[in-house]
Amino acid sequence: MSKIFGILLVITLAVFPKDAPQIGQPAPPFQGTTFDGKKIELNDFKGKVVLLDFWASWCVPCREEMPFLIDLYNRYHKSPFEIIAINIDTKLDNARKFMDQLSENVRFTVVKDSEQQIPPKYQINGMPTSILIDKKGIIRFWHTGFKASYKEDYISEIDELLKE
Amino acid sequence: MLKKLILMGFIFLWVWLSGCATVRPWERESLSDPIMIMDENPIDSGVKQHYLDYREGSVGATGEQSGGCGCG
Repeated sequence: MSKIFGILLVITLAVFPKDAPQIGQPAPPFQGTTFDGKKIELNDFKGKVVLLDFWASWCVPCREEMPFLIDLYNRYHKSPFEIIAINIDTKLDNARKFMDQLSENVRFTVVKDSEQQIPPKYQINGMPTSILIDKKGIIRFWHTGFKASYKEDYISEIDELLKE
Repeated sequence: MLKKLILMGFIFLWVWLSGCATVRPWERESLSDPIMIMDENPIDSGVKQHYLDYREGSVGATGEQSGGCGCG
């Protein structure tokens, strides 16, 4: 009987989700394809400060965040800074429609992840999640959700990472 | 006999509890659809609630369904 309990315990523990990567740890690598059809890897951006953002068109705070990401890109695109926005819409047309409605074109990297392979690597616990990765590929700041009051924090954190 | 019953009860409980799944944030696309609101006319009610929020200057406690982190 104890064998059966043991087997059930192992199976139960095996299906538990993995721990999320912590601040100070290397960002889990991933590969993806952008909406333009380019293949990218997170490692391609080593040497740059990366803002990794998980978003979807069905997520209200993500929709509110997107114009701010465009502002950030406009402000920092001449610096070693890149935004990688991971879109997790299962219907890609919804994401395209949303981006077309924005007052300005999205010029940063938007990865399509309709099969939602990348979020489990980071075990995000809310949408949107924005993760700031330094030039060495280390996770330095982590934001869950979006409010207008967060904007100043993002800017000061990016400035800090760019100075390093 | 008692041992068998306990074992069967435990297995039943395990199978039953393992049916409870956490919906991860990236899996909430269907849940964020207005159709998931427990209301006969969810879209109409959402619009009315939106007007009410602005008119009364108060928001919340409506059991509103939406996507995102819910921390906004």
